[in-house]
Amino acid sequence: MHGRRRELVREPTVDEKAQTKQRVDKYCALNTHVMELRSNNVHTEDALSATRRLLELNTELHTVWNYRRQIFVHLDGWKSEGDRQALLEQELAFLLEIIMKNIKSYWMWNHRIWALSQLPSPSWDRELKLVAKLLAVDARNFHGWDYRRFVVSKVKEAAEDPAAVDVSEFAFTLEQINRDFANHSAWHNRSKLLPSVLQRCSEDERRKMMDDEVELIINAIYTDPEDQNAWLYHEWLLDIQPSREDKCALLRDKVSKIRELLEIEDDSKRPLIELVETLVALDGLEPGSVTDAERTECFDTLTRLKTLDAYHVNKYTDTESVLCKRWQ
Amino acid sequence: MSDYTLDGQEFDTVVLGTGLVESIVACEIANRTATGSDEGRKVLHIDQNPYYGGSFACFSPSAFIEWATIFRDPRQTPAVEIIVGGVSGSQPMSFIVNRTTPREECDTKRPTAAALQPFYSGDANSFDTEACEDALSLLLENDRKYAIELAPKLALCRGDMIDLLIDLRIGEYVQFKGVEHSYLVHGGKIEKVPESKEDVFASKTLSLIEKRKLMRLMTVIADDDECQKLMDEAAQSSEQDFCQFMQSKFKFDGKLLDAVVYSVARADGVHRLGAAEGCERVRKYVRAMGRYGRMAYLCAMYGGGSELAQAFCRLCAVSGGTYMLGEHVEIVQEDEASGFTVKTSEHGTVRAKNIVMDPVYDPEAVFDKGAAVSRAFCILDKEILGDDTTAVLCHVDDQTATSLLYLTQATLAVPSGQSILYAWAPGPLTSEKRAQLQRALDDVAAGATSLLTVYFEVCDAKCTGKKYFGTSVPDSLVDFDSTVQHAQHIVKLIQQD
Repeated sequence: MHGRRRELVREPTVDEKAQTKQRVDKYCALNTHVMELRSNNVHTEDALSATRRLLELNTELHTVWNYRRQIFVHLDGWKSEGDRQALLEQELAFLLEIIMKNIKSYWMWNHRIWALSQLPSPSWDRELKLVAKLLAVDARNFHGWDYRRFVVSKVKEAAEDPAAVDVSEFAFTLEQINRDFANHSAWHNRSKLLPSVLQRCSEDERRKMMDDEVELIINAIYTDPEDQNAWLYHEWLLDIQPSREDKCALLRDKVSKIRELLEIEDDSKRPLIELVETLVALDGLEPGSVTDAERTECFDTLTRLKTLDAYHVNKYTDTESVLCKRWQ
Repeated sequence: MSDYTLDGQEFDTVVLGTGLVESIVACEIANRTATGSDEGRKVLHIDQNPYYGGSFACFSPSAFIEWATIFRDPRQTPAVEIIVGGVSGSQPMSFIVNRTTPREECDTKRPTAAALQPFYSGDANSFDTEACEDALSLLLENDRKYAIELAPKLALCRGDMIDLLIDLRIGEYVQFKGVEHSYLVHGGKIEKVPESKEDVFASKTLSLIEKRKLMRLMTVIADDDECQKLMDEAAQSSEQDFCQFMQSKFKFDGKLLDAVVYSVARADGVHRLGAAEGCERVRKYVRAMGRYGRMAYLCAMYGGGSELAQAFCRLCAVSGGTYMLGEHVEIVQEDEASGFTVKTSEHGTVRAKNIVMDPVYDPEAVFDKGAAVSRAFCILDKEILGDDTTAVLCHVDDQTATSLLYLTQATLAVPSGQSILYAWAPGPLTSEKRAQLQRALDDVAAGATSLLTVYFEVCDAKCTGKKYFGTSVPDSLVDFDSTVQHAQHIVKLIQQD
């Protein structure tokens, strides 16, 4: 999980080694037992508990998850809706227990999705609450965000106004960004939602939304010019611009905002790099739109970057030579 | 235990007063030796009041009025202005309590309109007893849910007080809540002081350039090397005070400058804050954040100074210290060679090598109005800055600065739905100072009605000519570190003896 220190590694003591051996032996015995049951196609309640014990020790055994699903389907209670509901609720509770131990297990999330798909009427609101809690604990966990997108899509299916769900999700991303604007997942999710949010807007509202998004980016850039998330989000904004004129307008705006920032702080690397790259992009979109003065500006900036960022001096030299050829 | 006597016993140190400084001293002397470094450091700790805390004590409204009318030392606090009521349309009533009555002469514990009437500052004939009783009963019906502090202070998350609590393991006796917000009150407007990158990002009142400037300062302070370079530079610019240094080095101005100089470095507008010291305070503030959460300060539940004093006393008692409340003493004899003879009013006469005292115990102490702190508080009928939260504020106007503290039921300072706002500033309570405190309270409490408003000053004092170790009254700084340092200084002096 993010934000946790690594634990120091040291040589285990004799006692610890003995303990570990015991645990390993127990695990191997259980593993063998379960695999044997599986190869004999045993589908009883006992087999189910055996798989549970094994999965509690190791959530990554996708074969065992598969086997567990097979057992469920073969159980007597599976056919009756009431019994199946009870079994699956239990299963969801079991998954909740182990989620906290290992949030990053693909197979466990997969199994949860399977369980929900088998329920006649799953509670997506409850799932949404669960994933909100999860993201509150670890806001950058992409399993959490991915699952959230999945749950939201299910919520939308059942919702009266699916677009309103998108709007509230959009607001949620803003909350997360405000909490910690280095949260790449939040920015990413926002970029995925933006097109659908923009769709419901009128032309004026679209203008305003775009301005608001740019304002958000500028706030982030002024707070920490080196944080890549805001710059990356700008790229996504650029991608969703409908026309070439819109793209150029956005890029021109970006250039002037960068220049303003450089007036009060001329030694931030990222804005300087972005300045050059934006002018080059403009040149690519609309050949000839970059003035001579601006071309000089690019070369001057690259020279400055070579002293500020000595590690990447060759990259800047390379860019210089490419631009020299192009603009000659 | 009235037949228990201490007559003839010898103590290493007798401590008079259970204020926070005295309690830390008593605890350090009793405890350090209990863990085996020295022999025979017996401590006798006495308070003439029937409550702990001394000048840091914490009261319910009824107990506060008792303090004002009975227990207060008039040399230290000449008068207490109490304004009651103003709810449900009636006029607030003002009382100036300018004398005290000995406990034995008061017949009832519960303050009544009749008890306050002699101090009424309006026309005696127009005193409305019933309105006064009504206003008082609003407070008294929840009397025990209040914890009104004489000297509110906070603990820096990384600082001397917290370190001492952890070291002595008193942390288990006291509970704290984080002070979640810091505000600057400027031109009558209350604005949140951004304390982290996220706050800066989300702020709607800072301009982009101000955001960048503030982030630059934060980044420098947070980086050890850069911070040291800054401190060195500040030490060399000794002609500049902290405010000028921030202007010249980081180009701060306007409310951003005020935020850093007053809300973070806590300049008080009276004492000059040098460049180096200001930077050090900012460094301490920033370093304190993140230890227990996104805040620099912790606020103790039930009233900081008093709870902490009691915690230290508890540890002192556990380490063998003897305690007496409500006991008066007379220091009969001073003998260079063998110390002091202390006569207690009910429990005999003892000998002591050292005496540590709150100067109010010295009938000949000299009180200095110049070294006073003016204090005020009001209990409000609304939670004006949010419910279940705690905040520290700084009110700035025309070069004066007032510190404020906003508490709610989050720290069990008031009943749910109400809040208490403290304001204080260094200097005696002249009419200008009173007006300054009132402006601060009014600006912050706008929109709420005060159930009880109080103004008073606390003068510092020295025990002259004697070999007592005298403690100081709570100063106007917002955190306890200076209190701890003062106590530790006294302990060192005693241990040198």
